[in-house]
Amino acid sequence: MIRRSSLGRIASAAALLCVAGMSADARAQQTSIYERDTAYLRAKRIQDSPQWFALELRFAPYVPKIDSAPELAGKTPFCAVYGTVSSRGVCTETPNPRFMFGLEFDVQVLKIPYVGTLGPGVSFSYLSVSRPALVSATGQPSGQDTSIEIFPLYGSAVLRVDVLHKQFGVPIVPYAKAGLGLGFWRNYSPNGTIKFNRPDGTEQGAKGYSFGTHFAFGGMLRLDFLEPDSARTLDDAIGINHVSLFGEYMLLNLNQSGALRVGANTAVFGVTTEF
Amino acid sequence: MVDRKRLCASLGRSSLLQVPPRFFLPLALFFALVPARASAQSITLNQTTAKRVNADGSNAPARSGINQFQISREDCDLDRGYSIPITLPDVSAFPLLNVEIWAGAVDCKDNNNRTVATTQQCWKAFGGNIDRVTNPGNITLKVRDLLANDRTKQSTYVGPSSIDVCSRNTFTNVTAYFFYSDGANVKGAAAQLEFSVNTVPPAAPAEPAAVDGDGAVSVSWKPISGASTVQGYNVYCEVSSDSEVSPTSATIRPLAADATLGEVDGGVVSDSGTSSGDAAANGDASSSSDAASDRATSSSGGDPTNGCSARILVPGQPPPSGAVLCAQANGPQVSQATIREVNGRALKLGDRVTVAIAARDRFGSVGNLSNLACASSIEVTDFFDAYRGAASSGGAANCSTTGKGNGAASAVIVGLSALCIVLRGRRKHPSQVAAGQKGVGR
Repeated sequence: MIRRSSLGRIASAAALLCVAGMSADARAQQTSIYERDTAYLRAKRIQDSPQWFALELRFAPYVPKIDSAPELAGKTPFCAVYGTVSSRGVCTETPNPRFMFGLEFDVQVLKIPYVGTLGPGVSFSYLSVSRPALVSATGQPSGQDTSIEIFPLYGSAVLRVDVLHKQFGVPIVPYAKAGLGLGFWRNYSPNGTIKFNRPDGTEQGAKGYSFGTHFAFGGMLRLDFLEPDSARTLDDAIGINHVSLFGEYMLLNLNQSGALRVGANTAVFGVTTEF
Repeated sequence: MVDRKRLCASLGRSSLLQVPPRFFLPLALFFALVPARASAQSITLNQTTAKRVNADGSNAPARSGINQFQISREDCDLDRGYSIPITLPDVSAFPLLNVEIWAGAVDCKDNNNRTVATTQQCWKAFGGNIDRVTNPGNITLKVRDLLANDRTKQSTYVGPSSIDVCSRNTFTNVTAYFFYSDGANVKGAAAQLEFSVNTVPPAAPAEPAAVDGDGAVSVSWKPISGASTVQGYNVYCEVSSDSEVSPTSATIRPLAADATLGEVDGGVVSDSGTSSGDAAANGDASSSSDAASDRATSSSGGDPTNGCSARILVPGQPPPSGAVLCAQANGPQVSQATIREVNGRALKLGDRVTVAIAARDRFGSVGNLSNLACASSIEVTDFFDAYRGAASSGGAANCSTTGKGNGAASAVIVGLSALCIVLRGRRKHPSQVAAGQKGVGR
């Protein structure tokens, strides 16, 4: 009995010491993190590598505004083929958004004190829309797809206001883009690009482009605060200053008269890397 | 030990009547013992160089990962066989006997399984004569002979020339026995070769359907589930042009339940007919499986009301020898194929295609045909056709393809290029570089 009591006391003391040690270790760790963060912020202001570029990986639901062309006089051929229209020709179910993906590359050439960066950016994206073509005689879906592929491009001035992050530590960077847009498109079937006869009798492929404007506004959430050490290491190792998630609303108005309006107003999401 | 060859040679030079009486006892012993010795040497088969051959004797197509002694339904249907090298080292030991080849799922060396009518379970698998020489060369065992009588009684013998040999679905092993026989009893030791048999064809795919297309017909079916041996599907076609369409096949096909007739309004299709699904709802433009389910089907699985008829394709029967294989789909879960040409001829507008699908397994066995489905190569309205029709004037749509905007586009490209050059020049400004070197760059 005595021996068992002694062992019990020793075990209890060891447990207390262990708990106390853990608490002290935790406090020390907290202090360490605080000090490290302070050191990181201090070092960050001094040792950031030069930042000149931004690269965006972009994803968006995309419905081209083809049926908005005034030449169509209210008719909705895009909806008729890729969505649903009533017997009176009214679009009752708009085509489902298609998945667009793309890249944008910016040069952050101007650094505006207490504002942010300004520079040109170019973007290239791609999406495809596909559905069974309609039998000419009956209007029923046939066994053959008719597809459109669209290549939205734009060149814009990009302003990223990063003063909030730099001066106040808020990891939000609002931005805006404005410029010119261009959309190439092609209508094709499994047999290749659709051919049609022009009024002069010549045969031509159903492909072309439309031209217009591009505007966008949105915000980036810089992820440096999640893993400051990793962010530091990333910058030191390969010169990537920031990695951010972003969301924006894009207005790609490719409204060139007489052209297929393959632009869209849509939300875009993705990842930005600044380096 | 007796030198049998030399003894036989001496016997050959002398007449038995001239043999002195003192040799009678040794000769009697010799003839009594030689068969016993022969039984130890037996007939030999070279299985490693045996070949699976076509009906004309040419090599059959190799089958990856399948034992060549696996007999498939296709082997039987195509009257294939096995070319087997055989040697008869003791041929002279059985001067009056022939080599017989029997097959069965039981021990065919047992006379009861071979010669007693009431208990017979084996059958002769080779009707020819094997040369009585040491190396008679290769003999060819026909698959149909090997499968000729798995019904066990002679009275129910089907016969190798009948197609019924192949259509009986069997999944058992058959062993071929090679031995000398005096007509009743096996003499010497038998050689044997075992064949595994799988002539059970895959089931016919269900719910075949075909849909019209422009120069193409899309075919779909329900994949066979739970059949691990299914390797893919064969699509067999018959084509008739409009002028050849029989009254039966010209019957207007019923619409699918979820389809409605659309309207054509000034060249614009104003009712697409269906509203369910979307082939590329997830951005996958190539998602044709969804698209297929989105289409109105033209078949009701062999229902006579679908108006499909064929000259030689018979649902529920194996593909006939003259059937045209117009597509092959590889993979057990593949459920569709597109027919663009039949017999090397591209489909033309007005061609009507009747199809039937058969599954094939990894042994090469092709199953029975599905119900018929049919569709036509017809004119379709592509998106741009609809768009041009809907535009207030054709020229509006044409403008986008004539290069009208080339100048503007070029200006944009040139402008952007110039901007980049200017900005690049600014980037190289000494003050910028110095700022970067000082580590104060952004």
